[in-house]
Amino acid sequence: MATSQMATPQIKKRPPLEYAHLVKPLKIAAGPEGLYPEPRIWMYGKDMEGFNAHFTFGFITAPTQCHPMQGALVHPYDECLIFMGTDNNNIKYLGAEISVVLGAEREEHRFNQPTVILIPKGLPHGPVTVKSVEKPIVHYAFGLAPEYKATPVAAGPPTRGMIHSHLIRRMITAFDRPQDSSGMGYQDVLGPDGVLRPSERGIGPGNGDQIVWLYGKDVEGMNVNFTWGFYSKTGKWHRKGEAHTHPEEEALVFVGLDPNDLNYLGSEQEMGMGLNYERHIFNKPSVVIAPKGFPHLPLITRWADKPYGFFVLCLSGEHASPWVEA
Amino acid sequence: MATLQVTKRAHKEYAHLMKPLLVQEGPPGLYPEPLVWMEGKDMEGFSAQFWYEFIKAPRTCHPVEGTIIHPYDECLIFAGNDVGDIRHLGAEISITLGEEREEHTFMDPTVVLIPKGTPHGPVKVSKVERPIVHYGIALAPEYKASILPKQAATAGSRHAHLIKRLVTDVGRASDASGMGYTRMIDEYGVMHPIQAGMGPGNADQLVWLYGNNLEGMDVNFTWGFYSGCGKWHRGGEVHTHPQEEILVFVGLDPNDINYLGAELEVGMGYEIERHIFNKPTVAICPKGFPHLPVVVRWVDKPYGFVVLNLSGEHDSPWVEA
Repeated sequence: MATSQMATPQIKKRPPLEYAHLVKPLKIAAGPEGLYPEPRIWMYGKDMEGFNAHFTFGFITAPTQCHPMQGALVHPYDECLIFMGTDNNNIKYLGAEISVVLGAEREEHRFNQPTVILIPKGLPHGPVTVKSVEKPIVHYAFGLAPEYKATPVAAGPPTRGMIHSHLIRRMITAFDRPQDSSGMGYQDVLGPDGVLRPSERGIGPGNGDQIVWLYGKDVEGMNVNFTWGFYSKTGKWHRKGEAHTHPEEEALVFVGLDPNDLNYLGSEQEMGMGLNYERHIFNKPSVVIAPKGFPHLPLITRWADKPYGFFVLCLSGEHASPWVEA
Repeated sequence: MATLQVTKRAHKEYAHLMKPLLVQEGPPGLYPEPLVWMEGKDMEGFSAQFWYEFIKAPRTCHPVEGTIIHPYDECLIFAGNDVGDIRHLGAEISITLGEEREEHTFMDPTVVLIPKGTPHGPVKVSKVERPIVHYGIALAPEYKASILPKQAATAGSRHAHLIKRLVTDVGRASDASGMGYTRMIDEYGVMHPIQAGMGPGNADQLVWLYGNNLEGMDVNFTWGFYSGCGKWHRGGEVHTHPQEEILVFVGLDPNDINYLGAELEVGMGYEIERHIFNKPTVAICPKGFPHLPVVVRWVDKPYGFVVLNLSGEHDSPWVEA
């Protein structure tokens, strides 16, 4: 071979990541006393760089009572309690029968489909009783304040009534939604069953197999929009753009679906952060925190051994998401 | 929650190592149509040349008429574009080799080895069932050739060892790369990296030839079909080679050589500077330059990929970056 004329560039070592503090592994903890019988993922605002909400995630594998385990409580903030199945082929299947007691009237409401229970600030609620479990279910919840606070209240026997039935909502995307206000095109992938199928319908190959998305108007005007989805594919999540921002804070939460291992994600993700798309890679359950106006994405699934779950928690009733040309 | 001050970096440090493939006329009389033609000067001084095209109908080339000699080693590769079967060529091709003008004919994917100073050509594509891929590698940065007079072809087998099937050596004990490709060679000499779990974005089917398969030439190269999304190598992030290398991403649409059909990102440098492209592109890696990971973002159509590494082996230590 001829002598090489090719110059070897001066190569620098990788500088420290500027936004590493915004990508956090999820923490498993016992949680507030008397709320849940087993350790779960608990993330408070202080664990998420001051994010103005907190969330918890875990599985329910057998009949149980929780939130709280005994009695009832009130929070000084709005809260959503979400119950989803783990059948990643059918997001509309719960696989459990659950009841919750709501209001000073102690109304008992039952459901056996994927459901969000809306708990407006100050509403007495609980306990949640999981009466039967065909297949382990996912239960996650968020409170719209950075810190968990609760006051126990008197809990008489449950009653029948409909005053609070509007607080029990099926976990499906609203059919009448003309657009998702995100600019990302999710409204084009909504099926007549209220399920979004962004991977199959071209938003991006790594995007959700099945997703549901609820906005403020679907959740009694709460200042939040959130999703739940099953994901199993590799590649970019959004072909239309690179980075985007939101005018409000957002948490992107990546969770596994193994009821026996809360630390298992089953996939590896690559997330761009900031205008330089600083690359963050993780393969354990993690949260990505996006402060107001912070550019984030693209999101690329590098590999997936098992389907996993993902939810967005964005602190606005709408989901404005302008693409940033960076 | 605090709002963050975000700033944009001025430029990419390694942008000069990522080049769109140049479609242009090749050297006069060598090929009848424009093709991808990249010499060292087009690739930051890379010490070899590379070209790529489709052959859609019977024709003569390399050269179009007569015979030529180069002052460097050369490989002429003829591969099919049936992404379901990398061992299917779909054409009948002959080439004359040596002073004797020995004519050799083949109908399987093949690399024709042209040692420095060997008279060769023309290549005659006599039948085409379906369009095929032809690419070439010349182990010098600049094209040079001497023309010899036209002469009648002869029968003979003196140069038959220069006609090699385009398959991986089934008996290869190690790929010397540390990446584990030798674990996934089937009985026919085809590697199946996705199936073997190397990474979901890696090749569906791949063949890899090394110096010892190529009469000792200082080169190892691949040909592969790719259709999956995700990371190519789950085993690591960044690696280097002691010799120069180019990574060539090409489309498989015989009617549009500028179409890739996929979007990929390649990390360059210890910084893993991210470079994204969705057109046919070459990534140039000087000696010792850290590169990877390759991550496939989306795929509309299967595409092709060639590694061209200027060593008979493929030492590829992972770098913890």
